[in-house]
Amino acid sequence: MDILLIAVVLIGLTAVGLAFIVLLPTVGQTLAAVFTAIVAEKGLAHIRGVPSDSDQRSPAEVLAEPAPVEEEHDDHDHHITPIGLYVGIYLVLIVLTGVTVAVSKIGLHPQDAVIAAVVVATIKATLVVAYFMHLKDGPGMPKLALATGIFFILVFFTLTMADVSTRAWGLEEADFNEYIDAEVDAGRTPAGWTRRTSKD
Amino acid sequence: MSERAERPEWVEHWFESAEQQLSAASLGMWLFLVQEILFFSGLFMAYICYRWMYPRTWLEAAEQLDWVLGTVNTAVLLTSSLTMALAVRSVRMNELKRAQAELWATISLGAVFLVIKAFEYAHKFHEGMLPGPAYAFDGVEGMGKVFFGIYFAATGLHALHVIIGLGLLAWVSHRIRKKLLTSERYVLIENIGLYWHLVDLVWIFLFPMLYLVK
Repeated sequence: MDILLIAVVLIGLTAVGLAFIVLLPTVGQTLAAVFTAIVAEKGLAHIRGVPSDSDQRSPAEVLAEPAPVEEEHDDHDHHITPIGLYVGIYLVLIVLTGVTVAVSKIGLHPQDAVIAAVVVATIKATLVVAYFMHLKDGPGMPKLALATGIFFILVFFTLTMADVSTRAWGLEEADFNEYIDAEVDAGRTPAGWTRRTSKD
Repeated sequence: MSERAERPEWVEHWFESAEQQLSAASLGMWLFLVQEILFFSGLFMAYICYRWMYPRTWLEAAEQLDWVLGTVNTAVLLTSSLTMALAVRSVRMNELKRAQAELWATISLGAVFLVIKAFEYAHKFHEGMLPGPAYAFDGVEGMGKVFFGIYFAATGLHALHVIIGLGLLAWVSHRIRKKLLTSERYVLIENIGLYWHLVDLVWIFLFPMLYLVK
């Protein structure tokens, strides 16, 4: 049974590892290249003030359109967020802070409390990134950079926890507790305290 | 469109236009911020691993942190993020005087955050909850020193970011005074603003994970 478990874990980890090694460079690079091409093309076209090729409009359509009016140079004015929105987001952030504190005091089970805390923190972080850091209405490349960063953090967390959370697999509970107690009594840090034996 | 004529003298010659230079600077800042997020994710990973390994110790040790001070500090940092966003806005609206006031409000709030943090640290040092081998607190069963090691590493690096941020904000204020930062040439304050919001972001996650783990 233990050998079976170990085999499953090994095969699973190998599969995940291979998937990352093989798929990431190809899929990731292709996606990044496509994204970059589209974003750069659109962005440059926007800066130059000409319609981008990827808009794919027929010449007749273009001709039918009235000649473009010289754009007023106030286009940086309408990117400015009104004060009310900033203050509103700030108030929501403060309320959410209150919510996290309140949730931590109602005596949820620690595991549920952590999930609640992380969910609220993620909502807060999203608000800060979208509105205070102007990512929502900003250009595409920073979004791509942030998404890539978050993706690799998830890879990092997943692979690390796949190791840490399975280290005690195969140890019987009694043996496990005995092993932990012996290590602690000897003043050492036991390698791999991984089985959550108590829910308290 | 007479782009040539409108080209300000601070636009480097390898950029097509001011907009292109500004968006390049913004993208560069974002790449740096993503690197910072990855850097802090290492600390969060350590937190998750060790919490998984020592769940009971974690709950006990977190009791030692003062959640009231933590909550106050969260509010302080969120408010400083608001004043920072308003300062960036004021610069873009060409209200430089107001921007200066908002910048200095941000700096003051950052300083308040550090002062509160210093009181927390002083209290912990006094109780013997020191980082690493100096740990001499016996109020927590088990691996309390692991928790406090991560606590000091995470909040210490975060505080270092706050200190650097304060210096950068003072520099921005100086540039505005010297008229090197204007409503047209606003990318510096915008980028420093992004950095300041990142410091806030990190704290948004650190606060519940360290102070409110019950």
